[in-house]
Amino acid sequence: MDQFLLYVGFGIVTAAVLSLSALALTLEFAVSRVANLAHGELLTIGAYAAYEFLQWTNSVVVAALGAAVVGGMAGIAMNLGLIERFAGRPPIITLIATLGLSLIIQNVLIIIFGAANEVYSINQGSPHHIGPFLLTDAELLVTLSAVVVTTALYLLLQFTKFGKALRAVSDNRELARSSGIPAQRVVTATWGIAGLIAGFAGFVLAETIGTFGPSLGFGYLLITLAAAVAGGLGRPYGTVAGALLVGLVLELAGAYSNSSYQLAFALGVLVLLLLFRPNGLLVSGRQVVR
Amino acid sequence: MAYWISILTEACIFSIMALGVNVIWGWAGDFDLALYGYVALGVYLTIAMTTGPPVAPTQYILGWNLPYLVAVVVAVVIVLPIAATVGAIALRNLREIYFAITTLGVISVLYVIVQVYTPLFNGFNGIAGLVTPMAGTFNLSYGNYQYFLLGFCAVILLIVVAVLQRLSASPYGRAIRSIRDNEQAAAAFGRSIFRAKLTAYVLGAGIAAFGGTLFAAYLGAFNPSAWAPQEILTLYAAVLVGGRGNVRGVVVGTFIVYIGFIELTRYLPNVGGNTEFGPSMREILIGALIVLMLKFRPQGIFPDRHGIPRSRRGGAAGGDWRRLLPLPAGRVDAVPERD
Repeated sequence: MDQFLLYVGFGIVTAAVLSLSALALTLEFAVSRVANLAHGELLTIGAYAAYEFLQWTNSVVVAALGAAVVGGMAGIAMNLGLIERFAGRPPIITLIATLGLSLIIQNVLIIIFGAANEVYSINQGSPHHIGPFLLTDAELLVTLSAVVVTTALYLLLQFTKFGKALRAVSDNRELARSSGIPAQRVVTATWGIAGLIAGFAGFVLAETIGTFGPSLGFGYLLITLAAAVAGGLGRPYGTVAGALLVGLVLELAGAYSNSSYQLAFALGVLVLLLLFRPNGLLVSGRQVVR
Repeated sequence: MAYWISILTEACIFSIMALGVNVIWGWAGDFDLALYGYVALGVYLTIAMTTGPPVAPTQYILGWNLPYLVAVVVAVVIVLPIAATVGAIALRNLREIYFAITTLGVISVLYVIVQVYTPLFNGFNGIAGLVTPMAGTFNLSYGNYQYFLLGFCAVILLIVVAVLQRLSASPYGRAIRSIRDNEQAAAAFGRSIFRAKLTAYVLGAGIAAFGGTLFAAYLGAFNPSAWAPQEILTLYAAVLVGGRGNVRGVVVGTFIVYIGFIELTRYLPNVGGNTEFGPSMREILIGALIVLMLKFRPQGIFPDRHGIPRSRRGGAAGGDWRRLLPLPAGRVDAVPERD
């Protein structure tokens, strides 16, 4: 039982990182209605940005902020450079284009940084017993930061004018535009926020794994998609629940089998969800989904 | 000379794989990312069935000593039910982005399992040992073997093209396109959507696996670095360039992409002594090709003109049915593209 709770603790840390990545993905989907397969590259860019900032300043805080800011800029660039240019096209066409972009970014990163893995030199701190869990300082900080980001996003979406505009644009961009909301600017800003979160998530992900390379984000894409689909694509609040579910499944499945097969379990969850709850755990319905 | 023989052989093999993509995506309209997994299974199974029992520390399943041509048939027959299972799950009620996500999951998991579970196909080190298959049967020397292989692959490509051309014009070919263009309408006309789509999926996967068995003869060895999930994108680029749905166009597109892009970029210099530069630049070009084709000419160089009466087809590039409609002022592409 103790062993089980220990893995639940690790599952919560995994879910924390996952919820950041999945929240960013779901925000992108909410305003642009496209499953962004180049989303993983936002994480990778964030991880490399953090690496560079860490080299220069040796400060974890600067590295985290740097990752977020560079990720935010990359998110805006991705939206303006690709997604908006495919506006009005069938979603699957845009999806294929984002996959092409993912290939481009990964290889640009290989040319710049090389294909070899990088390592952060961050002190993990000693493990503490917190209730039944056994977590290091770094893991605690990661979990805490995910809670802070999620709460901030909730407040932003629920209680600000921008949040209201974002929800309106997500519902129906044309209708939002005709009621005087600057839809274009809201979309751009949302991609900026998604990029901020994704860049930070990339830093946190690379930090918890230990090493990272140009395929960091692409390797994480499937798990992110599983969490986002579990929560219902485009529904930020469900996404956190989805991330918790997928995170716990991953850690527990990894603990009681070979951890290399985590991805297989992620797919298992994904397929079951798509078959029985394609619109998210909290929404019922089983029709053909596109 | 030997170099060009080798490239042409490769282009023939990739054309067959691209034709598999064309059946699933060009005709049925399903964006399948798992397809390169069927290619890989075709390669692995062919090698595992022809090179005899593994010698330690190498491990792999089967380990038979079948003649190459028998192994080709058995490999394709093994892949078909696997593809049918994936297709049956993914096509039941998932379409478009959800179908794409599911198949991305399938290929990712297959990739991990083959890498990690070494008893299957020797994990990351892969398997090897298929040397000049059929050389004994046809009494070929090492010198003329590669000419034979090129001829063999070219003949098979021609056969596959001929069969698919027939199928393209058959009632099934028209039905599957009508489903792609409008599923509800096709269902209203009494088509069984699921069955038609699944047939296309299994057929496409079978063609891809068949291409894989030829690839095995060409390569002789195979390991996971040869089939990363992104490899499929080059095939999609080829189909996009050639003209989605158009059998002959896809073959031309594959030759353009594989010879024009892949081979010519081999001559890129290593900028700044960076050995990653050439291979990465090639991938970047493939990615850019996909994005630009989708943006500016999604119908490809040779658009699929099937279903348009011959009298109305117009000139070479003018077969697009949109030309027949009065165009709204301003935008030429204002008619929604099918998908």
